[in-house]
Amino acid sequence: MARMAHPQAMQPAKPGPTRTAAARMPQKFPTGGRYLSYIAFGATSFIYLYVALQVLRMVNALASGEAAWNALLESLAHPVYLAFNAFTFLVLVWAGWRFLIKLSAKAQPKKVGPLRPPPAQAVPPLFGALWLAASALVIVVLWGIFP
Amino acid sequence: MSEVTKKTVVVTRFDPDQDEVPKTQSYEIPVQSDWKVLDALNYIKDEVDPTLSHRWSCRMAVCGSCGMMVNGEPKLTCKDALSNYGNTIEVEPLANFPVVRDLVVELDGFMERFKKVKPWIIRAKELAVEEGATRQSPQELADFKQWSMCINCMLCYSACPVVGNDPHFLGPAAIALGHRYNMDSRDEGSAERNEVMLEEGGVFACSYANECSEVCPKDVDPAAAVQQGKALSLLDWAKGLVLPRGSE
Amino acid sequence: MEVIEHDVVVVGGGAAGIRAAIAAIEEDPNVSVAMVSKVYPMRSHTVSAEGGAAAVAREDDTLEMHGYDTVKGSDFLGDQHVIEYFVEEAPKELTLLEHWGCPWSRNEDGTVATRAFGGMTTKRTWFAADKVGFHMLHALFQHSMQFDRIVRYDEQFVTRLLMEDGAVKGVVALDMRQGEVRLIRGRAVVLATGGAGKCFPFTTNGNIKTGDGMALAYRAGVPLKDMEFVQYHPTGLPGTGILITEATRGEGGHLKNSEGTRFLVEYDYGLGTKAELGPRDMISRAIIQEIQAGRGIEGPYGQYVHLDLTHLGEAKLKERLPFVLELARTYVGVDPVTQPIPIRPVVHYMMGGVDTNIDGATDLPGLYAAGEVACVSMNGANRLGSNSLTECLVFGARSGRCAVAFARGASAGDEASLRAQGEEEAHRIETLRGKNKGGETIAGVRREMQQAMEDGCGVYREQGSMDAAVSALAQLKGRYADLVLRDTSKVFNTEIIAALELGNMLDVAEAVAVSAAQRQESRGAHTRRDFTTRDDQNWLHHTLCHFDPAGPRIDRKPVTLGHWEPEERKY
Repeated sequence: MARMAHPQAMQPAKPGPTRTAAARMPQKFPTGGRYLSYIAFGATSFIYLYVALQVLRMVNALASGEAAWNALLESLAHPVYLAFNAFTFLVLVWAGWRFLIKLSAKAQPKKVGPLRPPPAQAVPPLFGALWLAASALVIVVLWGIFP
Repeated sequence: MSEVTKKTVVVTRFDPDQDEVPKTQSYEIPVQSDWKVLDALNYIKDEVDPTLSHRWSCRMAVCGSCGMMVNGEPKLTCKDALSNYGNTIEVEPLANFPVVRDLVVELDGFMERFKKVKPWIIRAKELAVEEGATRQSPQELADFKQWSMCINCMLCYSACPVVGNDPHFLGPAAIALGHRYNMDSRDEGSAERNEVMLEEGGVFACSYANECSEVCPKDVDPAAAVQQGKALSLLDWAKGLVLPRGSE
Repeated sequence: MEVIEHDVVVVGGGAAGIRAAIAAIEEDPNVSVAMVSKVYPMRSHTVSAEGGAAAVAREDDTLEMHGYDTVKGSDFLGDQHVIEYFVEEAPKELTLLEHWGCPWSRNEDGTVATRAFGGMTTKRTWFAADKVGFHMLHALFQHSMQFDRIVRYDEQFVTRLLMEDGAVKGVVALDMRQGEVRLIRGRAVVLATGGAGKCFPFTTNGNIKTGDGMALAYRAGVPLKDMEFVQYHPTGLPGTGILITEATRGEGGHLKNSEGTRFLVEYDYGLGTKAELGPRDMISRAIIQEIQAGRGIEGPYGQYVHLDLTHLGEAKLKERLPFVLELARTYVGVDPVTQPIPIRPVVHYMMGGVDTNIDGATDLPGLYAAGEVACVSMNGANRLGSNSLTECLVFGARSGRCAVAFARGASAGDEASLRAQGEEEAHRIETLRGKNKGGETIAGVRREMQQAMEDGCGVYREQGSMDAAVSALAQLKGRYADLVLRDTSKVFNTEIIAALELGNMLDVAEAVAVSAAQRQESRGAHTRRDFTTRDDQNWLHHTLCHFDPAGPRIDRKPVTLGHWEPEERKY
């Protein structure tokens, strides 16, 4: 049997005139079929949270002197942590694919007021041009043209 | 006639006059190879057990009456071929809805959500008939046409994990309908509608499971409508911060 | 017993019903309207109409031409003053719908696009791809949601008209959810319940089209008019009867026989150069003749012919006929892009219905009817494709306005006497629910009724078969009294609804068969093998069928001629 839904789920503001059986969630929720990838996608937020805490830890170490910093670097070299890093990388690739390729593409409005997005064929060269420009800027900065 | 085989259809039964909670009942019936799931239910109703209650009408996938869970997935039963399944088929009422009787679910909650998004053309000044038909380019039509294809079968509500957990959520079809009018070049009511979209249970209640679009039998892609609605209603909100209300 | 009061009660939530309700509000914003429907309005069968709605829109078209096409299509049995009013109002109504958001397909310049349709001289059918009924219904329904004075009563099955002093004072409705009867009082009632295709076994019509409104009016003493004219749509899918729109032919599709020949071109079926763009009655006959000449194709559900769209190309099919692609792929496993679609004629529409005048008013004060349930006499003996969606709007609107005007001067009736009628009806339904004694099943009687109608009132008819249908129906009505019902529950008891619907269908079916058996000529959709020609001398008049407990009584009513003189109907 499927899990119960919220007791008020899809109820009208004024309850109907006859007794109803409580709403149930879809049978496969939360771990069956496509729901699994939705739940997993949501679960990746724990990894982001953990990484954010690590950053705080780094800042703290930096502020606590060289010994603390070296200790931190050492702990980061632990094989379990390295494995975790590899795992995080895979998760990021998957989450990025799901979000950017699968979900975001169709989330773009066909128009915003009178403005329309550029035609689909123009998008890849546009991104290419942007990337080139950014690279050029980085190179120029690294060469020390700007102080 | 086409080939006849036997299949077992397991149907959820619930009669509030007699049952505390829903139960299931199995029917072994002869089925034709070209039947849809609905044909099996109608056979049961006509020939085996006339006490079974289910909604149906057009049997051509456009009236939206006969949505049910078939083997755990929301399906339009008049469009879903029996041959997609093995020898046992489980038919339940739509998930996430209170059940009125057998396979019949409560619809009024859905109808209320529907009305909330103001699904009609809003204009500062209504057009008179004498002004003739508005001009609308094929491109402007294409901007909203997809969102106007919803048959209100509610499969998306049955698939959506948010609908089952958040009783305030407007839900995929209602938001897609509001978006349909927002994107219509003849409409001037998007500011009004976006206020509703930003309320509790509006577009931002959606956590983008994308299930609504997976199960939609008419390729409406309500998930896309909801995400686009997020962007556009947010823009409207930001505009409201900068500009006084009513200015454009 | 719950009693609800409104000014106007609209029964039915399809195109005609919603349009009537909106028109009532437009006429008087303070009027209160009840919209009572046995389904939620978006489920109404308007939703299944595919091809389009006719109204003059192009420069090269005139009201005169639309009028003439309609009169000729009706085989001169349409009332011409009604048709003149219809063609004049048609463009206004479709424009209104455009303003209300209907996504009409467009030309490049942004004007509304039109397509060719059977029996129309030029392109005058407005369309929204091939889901016109769906889009019109949803646009109307959504537009109607903004009016708080239209109060919906969904899934309420109207079983009887409330009467007082020979006038209608509201309806008795069975609430399907609760299984309780309630009175919905109104000083005027508009019937907009659609047709009765379900009297036949093989029909494009959905399950809900059971002639309820026709039966309500008929039993209350209003005659049913021109019931013998049942339209067979030439292109339905074998087996299911699912409609493949006439727009397929409007867009250039061809009908072919087993030899791959376009028989409407090769053989003389009176269609001339119109070929596939001929009217429905003539094309349906041509298909039957092809099959009888041995040029049909054998299939699991009998013989059929082919509708070939392969030469139109995938791009055009996707743009103009996407629903046809979906239907053919889903329901017969055929891809119209590469394969011809199997089709055969199928019951589609009742030209006949509740006898009304141009206002939609019946002879019963306070009772109006519009849409397929009504016979305002614009379709005569054969309706042209795409006229009926427009008809729903034009006459839905007019009857809504006229009902408001009538309601203003009418009394609300005496509550005690109306209650008594309600109690009587509640008792009748109570007795029927779970009535365990009897030897007949609903499905059994329904099947035999449908068979009798198919045998007696098909595309081709003759005296013997029609008489057989008449007596079979009389006998079935007797057996109806012996029905056994097993569902005793009050909540959403669909069995009792099916039983009540069957009762309605039996009355309507009998009216069809009796009306058909007495008309001794061939006109429009009523084609007899024993009287093969039209006979204006003796039969240029409407048929009225009156309810009588002893059996239907036939009467006649003159046709309103005018501008267009009857002539031989040849294309």
